[in-house]
Amino acid sequence: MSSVPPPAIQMTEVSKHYRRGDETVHVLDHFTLTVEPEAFVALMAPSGSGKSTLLNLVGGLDRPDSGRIEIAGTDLATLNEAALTRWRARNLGFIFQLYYLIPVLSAARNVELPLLLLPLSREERHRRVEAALTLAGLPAERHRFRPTELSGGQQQRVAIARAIVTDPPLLLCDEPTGDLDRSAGDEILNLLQTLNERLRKTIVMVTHDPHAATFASRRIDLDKGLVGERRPAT
Amino acid sequence: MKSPLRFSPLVLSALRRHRLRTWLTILSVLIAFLLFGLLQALNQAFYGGIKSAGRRILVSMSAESLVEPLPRAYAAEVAAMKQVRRVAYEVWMGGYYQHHNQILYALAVSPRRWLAEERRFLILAPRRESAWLKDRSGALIGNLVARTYGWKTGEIVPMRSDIWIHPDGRNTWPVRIDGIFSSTKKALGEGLLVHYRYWNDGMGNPNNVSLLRIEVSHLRDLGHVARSIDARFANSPYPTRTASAQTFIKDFINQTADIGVIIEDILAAVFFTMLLVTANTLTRSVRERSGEIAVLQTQGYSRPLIFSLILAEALVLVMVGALAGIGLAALIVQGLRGALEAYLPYLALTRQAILMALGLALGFAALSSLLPVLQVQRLRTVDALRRG
Repeated sequence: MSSVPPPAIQMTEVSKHYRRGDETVHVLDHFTLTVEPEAFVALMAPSGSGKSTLLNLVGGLDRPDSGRIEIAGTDLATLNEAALTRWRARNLGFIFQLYYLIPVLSAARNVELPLLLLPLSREERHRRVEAALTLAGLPAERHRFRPTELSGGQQQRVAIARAIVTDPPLLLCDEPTGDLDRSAGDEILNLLQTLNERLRKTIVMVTHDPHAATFASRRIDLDKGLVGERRPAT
Repeated sequence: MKSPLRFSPLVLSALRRHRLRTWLTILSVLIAFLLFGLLQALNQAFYGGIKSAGRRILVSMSAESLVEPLPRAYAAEVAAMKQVRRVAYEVWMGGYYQHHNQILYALAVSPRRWLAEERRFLILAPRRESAWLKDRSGALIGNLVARTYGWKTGEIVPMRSDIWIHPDGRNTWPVRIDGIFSSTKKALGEGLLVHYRYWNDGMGNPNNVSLLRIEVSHLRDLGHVARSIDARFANSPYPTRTASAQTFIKDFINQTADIGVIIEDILAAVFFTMLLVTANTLTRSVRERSGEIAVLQTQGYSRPLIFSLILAEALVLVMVGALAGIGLAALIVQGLRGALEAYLPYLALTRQAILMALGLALGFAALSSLLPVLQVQRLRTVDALRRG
């Protein structure tokens, strides 16, 4: 009898509110979501509807007011700050709209940063960096370029290489094409599709762009904590 | 395999981001430690002689001032005290060569007693020593004085003094140079020694001295003997003031100004400014990188690790400046030593001063990283990512 793997993400009755001046904003209200392993999910929502909050909660960067969040069977509430940090290093890759690359370091050095936390030799780090950058589609002659010498699309490829270099099972993408033109954006979305299909990465991508959402295998519309689901036309 | 040095590109990247700001900060640290080095060398120049003064030596002089004499007979009375081992006496000649600015640090001493006390610090041919002992109007001079004026053994030098005038009105005290010595005590190298009898005869036998040098048998007797001497002569026409040789030298220097306090005040102001500049640079740098720091946290960088990286950044910033500043100070002091040896024989940047500078640099690095570390402590990853 084969055991069924736990969901990649299981959010149960999760609530989160913020104080904005005298006002209380309920971003998520008893929100429930299940994402299966190896899925590519697009979370669609207008600005201010809580999609980044949701991503932060899944990434353990923020704590819910109530409810339960389990990632691949691990209940995040049971992890303290230090354990959560170690867990993130092993299990998550983040990809942001603004790339957040260190401008004075080369592409390769930027990608190497998460590997510095692991007990790897310099040669092994170098090998993994080259592999990640190649997989992300950055031409080899640009691996030593600084971010400012790369186009926006190439910078996002570097950021993706940095996210996958430790081989985490889950990638969380916050508007990964928000700063790119359509052509460059499509290349990045194709790359994410490849990572999902070939490397079996579970990907959760928040976006407000319906076109970007078509690259995912599942689309979830989020509006003030309410979920509406739509499967892309096949 | 997990050497902390693997984080060095990350630490250096923070400093390379605004090169001009980084270099200006390093320059401010450099100037602070350059000043520290030079002022410490100056401090050593003024107070360095204190350490070389014998710890068991007391100096007894007139309670009124150094130029007021004491009767030479006091020497025999003090020598008879139980805890006193040896007493020497001397007269401060207030000598100069041809012009008042050509100061000669000349003392009239009892030659045998003086040699008994100082011989271990001297390099002097025995025949020169004998020649001086036999020559009532002879002088021994230090090699620094000889070099300054180009004097040779056998020359007769017309020393002058405005303090001691012969009964016939002459102020010239011609002395023959019987020997030139070098000494491990730099102050001696500047000295010129004449026979006490030469001065006493020349002045018409007043039988006075400027001060007594008293060696006590044990260090623990120092205070007691000093009090006993002052008590003994308290009601005489020539009351004394007795203190350790180290205190005597320090008081003598501080007659002009308390150099130590001035130096401390200047350094406190300089270091406080440097601390503000460095802390400001680091704080601004961390504020500008809050997004990147948040991303590092998403990659698994813990807060303690990020604190360590900021501390390392502060260390590089401060240590580069401090080492350059102290190195430059050492070069300048080395250059000045030759030129000022006759005036400031103790001028030197000591090993102790260098170690103190390195200790201060470590302390300032830690202090200047406090504010940025607090910034990171307060940084909410989510907010930093939202701000971009």
